[in-house]
Amino acid sequence: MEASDETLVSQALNLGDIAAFEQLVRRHQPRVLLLQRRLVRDPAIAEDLCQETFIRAWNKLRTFRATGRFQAWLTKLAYNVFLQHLRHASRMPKHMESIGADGQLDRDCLVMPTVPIADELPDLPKLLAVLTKEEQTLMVLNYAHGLSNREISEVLGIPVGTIKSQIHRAKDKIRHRFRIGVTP
Amino acid sequence: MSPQDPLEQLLTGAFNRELGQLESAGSVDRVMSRVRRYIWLRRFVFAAVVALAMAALITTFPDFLWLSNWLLGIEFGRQAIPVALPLLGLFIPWLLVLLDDQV
Repeated sequence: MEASDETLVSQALNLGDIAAFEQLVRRHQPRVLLLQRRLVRDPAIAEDLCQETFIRAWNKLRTFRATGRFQAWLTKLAYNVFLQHLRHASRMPKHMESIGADGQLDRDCLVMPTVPIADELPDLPKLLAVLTKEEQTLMVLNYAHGLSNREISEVLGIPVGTIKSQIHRAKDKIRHRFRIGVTP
Repeated sequence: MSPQDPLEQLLTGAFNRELGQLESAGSVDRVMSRVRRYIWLRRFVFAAVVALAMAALITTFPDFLWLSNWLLGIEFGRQAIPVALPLLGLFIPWLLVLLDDQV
């Protein structure tokens, strides 16, 4: 039986057990990397931010409270690493232009790129391509990280209602774009 | 939304496939390699700072010489102690790094 995240955190924290921390990294790294890739687009920078996230996680392990989920705590850390990267970047990436200085999403930002509808099962990049960058981030946090709307709200600092409506809108876009469950 | 919903199934499947690909991309090892380097570097720097502080203490207050002699278990000369301790402080973490790489 696999040890829980909380047990591994406790081992890493109290015994300085690097092997326990490595297990946490192996368990959560793909999700963190997926999020960073959606946020920054450049795979090399995304991997760098992913590494930075886990270094910061090791340093801040004491601040993790067992009352919450480790996944949510780590995701918030990853998002903060991304925000710090933005602050240090010489110019703001295009996809963040619709996010205000307070981190709030711009509801009017709706981009519908043209994506050819494939006959075969669409893969993730194709599915996400019909969404705005903000909606993509929300879908990654919801599906890949398994965060609840409340947890996403805490990570991004956006009201729960906004998140619900954004996710709902994102799903509608995919449903209609790929004609899933839509009668012609 | 029902888990049987075709959209839910499509999204869940697509995310799982993507995560599976990222998991097998070998980047986990690169992350862990950097994390390990960072952790050992921090320990190394900490040990070196402690060793240097101790050396400074002994140099400033020679009365502490008995303490270092006792710690080392060897009768070093007064001049050798300030040199030996930092070296020891550097050597131990280095040895730990080597041992860790073997594991």
